[in-house]
Amino acid sequence: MRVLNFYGTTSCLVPTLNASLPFVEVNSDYANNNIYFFKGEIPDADTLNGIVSQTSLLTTYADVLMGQVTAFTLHYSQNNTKLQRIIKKDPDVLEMPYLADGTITWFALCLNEGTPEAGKTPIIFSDSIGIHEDDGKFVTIETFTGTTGTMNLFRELSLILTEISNLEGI
Amino acid sequence: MFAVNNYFNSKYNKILLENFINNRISSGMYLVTGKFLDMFDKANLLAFNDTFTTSTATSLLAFCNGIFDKTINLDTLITEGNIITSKSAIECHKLTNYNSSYHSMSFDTATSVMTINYSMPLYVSDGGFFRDELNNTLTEQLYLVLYNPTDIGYWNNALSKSVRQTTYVAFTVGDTGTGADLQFDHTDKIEYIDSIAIKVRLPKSLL
Repeated sequence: MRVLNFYGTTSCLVPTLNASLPFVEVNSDYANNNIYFFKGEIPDADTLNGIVSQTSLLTTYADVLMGQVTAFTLHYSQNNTKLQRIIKKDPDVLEMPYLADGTITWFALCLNEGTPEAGKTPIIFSDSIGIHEDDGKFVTIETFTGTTGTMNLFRELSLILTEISNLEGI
Repeated sequence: MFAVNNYFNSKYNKILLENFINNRISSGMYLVTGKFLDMFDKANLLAFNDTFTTSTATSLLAFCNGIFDKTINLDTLITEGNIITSKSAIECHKLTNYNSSYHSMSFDTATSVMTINYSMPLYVSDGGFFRDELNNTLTEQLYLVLYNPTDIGYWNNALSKSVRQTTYVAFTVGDTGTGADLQFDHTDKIEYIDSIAIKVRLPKSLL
């Protein structure tokens, strides 16, 4: 198989189906997204691929859950000049008390869909976590390490996906 | 690491594959050689670097449409020398007789596999595709190409500007047992394709 410039990836990356692919910008806000932080080594991609829903995520990894923030809003915007999808949360810093002792190493972002399907949740997993103004990370928090009941902060969530031509850099 | 779960993957794969591949099946299928795709890629590479020029077409899109429609003079391109230097093994035959009634798609959410079926015979234009057009060799890779005559602006970081690009998706065609995406019993001349069944899936992780 041989493909040149398979575009549309970022354009469709919104919770509801973008039926006008690939040229129409879809900018929208979706409330009620949840993020969960965990300790320990992040499981491999195949294992994470098998997590069906938020419920099964929390059941499977209850022993390593370090913190959570629920019901926050994500803003989806599109830059068609650069073929970019930008996903951000509100700039407000949100409180996130430690639920256990330990060090945060990875997170699961459970997206709220426009039309949810019973028993299923679209989930993004990553270990791209920084502190304070660490712009190169997907998510930033106040501290990596803490003890049960002490306060941590969920600061930023910013994901910029850019479609690039197969010919970039050639 | 940036991973997603199966439900996320299926949801977005379905949207992507439906929109990308489905539109291209209905707009144009062609049987071409790898050398033809090399020519297509080279024109796009020049356009990406903002250096695409030819007297045979006014834009990249017009050029790409022209090479599929055979309205571009390859001898002129050879003289110009920036896209091709030889027309050896550059072959393109349109598959005709497309009828959307015989086209269907299905998506398996468990495996994220999109299956595309086309059940009506498609005729290879220009009297069919003779293997011996390729200097009596079978070494040149053949492709079934899905082409949609549209272009889109990609951002070129080095140039800090948007540049036009065109697109295709191509499946390898070969004899039975070669491991090609689409396999035929050996034949010296391909006049028509009885039916097509394609299964595609995007990777599990976005990055």
